[in-house]
Amino acid sequence: MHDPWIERLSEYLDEGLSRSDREALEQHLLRCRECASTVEELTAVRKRARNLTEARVPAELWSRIESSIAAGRVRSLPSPEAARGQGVRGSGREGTARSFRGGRFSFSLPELVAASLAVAVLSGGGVFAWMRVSGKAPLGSPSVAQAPQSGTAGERPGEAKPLVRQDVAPIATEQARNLAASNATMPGATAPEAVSARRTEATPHEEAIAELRKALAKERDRLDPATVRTLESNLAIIDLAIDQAKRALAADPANTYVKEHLAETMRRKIELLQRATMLASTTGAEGTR
Amino acid sequence: MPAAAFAFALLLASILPPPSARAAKIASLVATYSDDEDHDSEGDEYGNALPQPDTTITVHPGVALEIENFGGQISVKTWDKDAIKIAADHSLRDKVILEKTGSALRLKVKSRRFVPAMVRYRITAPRWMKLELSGVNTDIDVEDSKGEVRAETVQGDITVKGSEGFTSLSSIQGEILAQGVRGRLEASSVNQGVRLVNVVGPIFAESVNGGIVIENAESDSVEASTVNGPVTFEGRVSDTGYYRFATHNGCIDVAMPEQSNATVSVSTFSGSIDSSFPVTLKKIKSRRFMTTLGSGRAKFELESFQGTIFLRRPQESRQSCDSDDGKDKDEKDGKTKAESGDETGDE
Repeated sequence: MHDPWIERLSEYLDEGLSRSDREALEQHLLRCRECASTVEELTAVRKRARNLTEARVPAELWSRIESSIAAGRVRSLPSPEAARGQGVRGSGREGTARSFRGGRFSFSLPELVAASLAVAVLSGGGVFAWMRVSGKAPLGSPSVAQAPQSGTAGERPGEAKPLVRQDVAPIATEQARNLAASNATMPGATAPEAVSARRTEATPHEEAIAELRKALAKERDRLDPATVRTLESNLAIIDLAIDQAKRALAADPANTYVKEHLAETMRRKIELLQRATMLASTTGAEGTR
Repeated sequence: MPAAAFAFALLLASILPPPSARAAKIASLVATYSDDEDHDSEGDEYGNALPQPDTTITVHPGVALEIENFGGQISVKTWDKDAIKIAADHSLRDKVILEKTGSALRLKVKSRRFVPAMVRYRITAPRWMKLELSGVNTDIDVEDSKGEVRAETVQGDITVKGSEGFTSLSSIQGEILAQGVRGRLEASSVNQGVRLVNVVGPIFAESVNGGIVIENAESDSVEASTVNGPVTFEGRVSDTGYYRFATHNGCIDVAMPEQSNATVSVSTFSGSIDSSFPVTLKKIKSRRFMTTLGSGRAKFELESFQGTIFLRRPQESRQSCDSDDGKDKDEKDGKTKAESGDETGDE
């Protein structure tokens, strides 16, 4: 059984614990070397992430985010009038670039990137430490970026088959179908090849997500196929939501709600990947989960 | 000779289990010790071999119960005694092990077939006992606990009723139901819904592909979000409360008295907003609106990327968050106050 406190360390560092929980955790830290070590690592990562945000992110990362999203936009966006959101503030690469250079992303995405990097490092340092190396080649399936039924994105040519792709069942619920269907009506709904091409350049948070996916791929055999299907279906749902939010943001770059929503949805994806990875890594001799 | 045969038959009958036992029978419970410092002082309480069908063990306050199960069920009821009663239905070829580690009792199964065991635990625990319950294909039920409850499953529903104290419920594929829970509650399911009824205390609920229903809550801090599903909230609005409900694809249905003292912030990208009582929506940013009720002290944040956000009176019937998300109904009734991009109110 994994240490329940390990999942609350981040909350502790965020000062989000109640007083009683904080005191209990501090007592626990005196006894638990692993948790104490993780807290130290987390603190170091946060410090690094903070420095990264202040000193390095604007120059190195925003241009990548910009080009990534702008590339997708150039390929996929219809005219502003055709876009569903009436608040489109312009179209074309220039407008987008100007928006990003103006620092509009600084509202939420820096935090997201810092958090993603922190999570990735944590996952590498914490979760990887627990995991046994299976010896298999990583499957290199960075994302399942569409709901199984949506058919909006294809697999990348020449790339290894995604994680148990063949086992991914259609999303069963009506709502999931609606979500997939709604994707077609979103601004910038694209042909599969366009979506695929747009994703060839990964943003930092996508790289972090890819790292978690690699970790999960290594341990996937420990999970029950039904669990894998469930996880993949839900990751696909989140990917679809992320895709829609990205397109919405491309259509309306000043929309703070969409920015926050995108960040929130990405956080949720990272959390789900973390959870899946931990689930796989803690599944041992007692059987597959 | 017949007497010898009869005696042999009796002997066989005493050795072989009855047929019914093969299906599910309380087999054995073996208590083992880890090398903890309390070994000597608590040796009498935990014994070495406890083959009784229902085993009752005296426990000191502060001891936690941890159960790890693969398949089956974990059912925990509580009583006022400082003792834990353990019953476990399982195959005769599996053995339930009770370990004491630190300040916790840990129940797990040793399978003799090298395959995961199916066990149905029926536990009666002290009301104060902290519970850490986890299972894979396991349903978990807890009733009337006053200690901390943590329950986690991969594929199994979790139901907690009448608990007090911190409660954390988490599942990948199972439904979550918390009823009459008092204290901080964290509930999440990845692929199913979360339903919280008569909960008193801070609430944090999350799903990915499921809806969240919060009924008759009494809380000054509620956060509920999902990606693909509706979020419904009905409950008392505290003047100092913070309430946040969010979904990507689904409706938000919030019941609140018109006389509430709340500032309601509503955000959507391509959804719409519908209130059954008169509100003045002020556009504060692109696709973000705000309205103030009464003194506006409580904070509500309602967000649906592409669904309808409903505000209604508590006595009005719940909105159905169907596939069309109520949009057609809105248009038919002419109730829609704002849709995405509308220039409602001031910029």
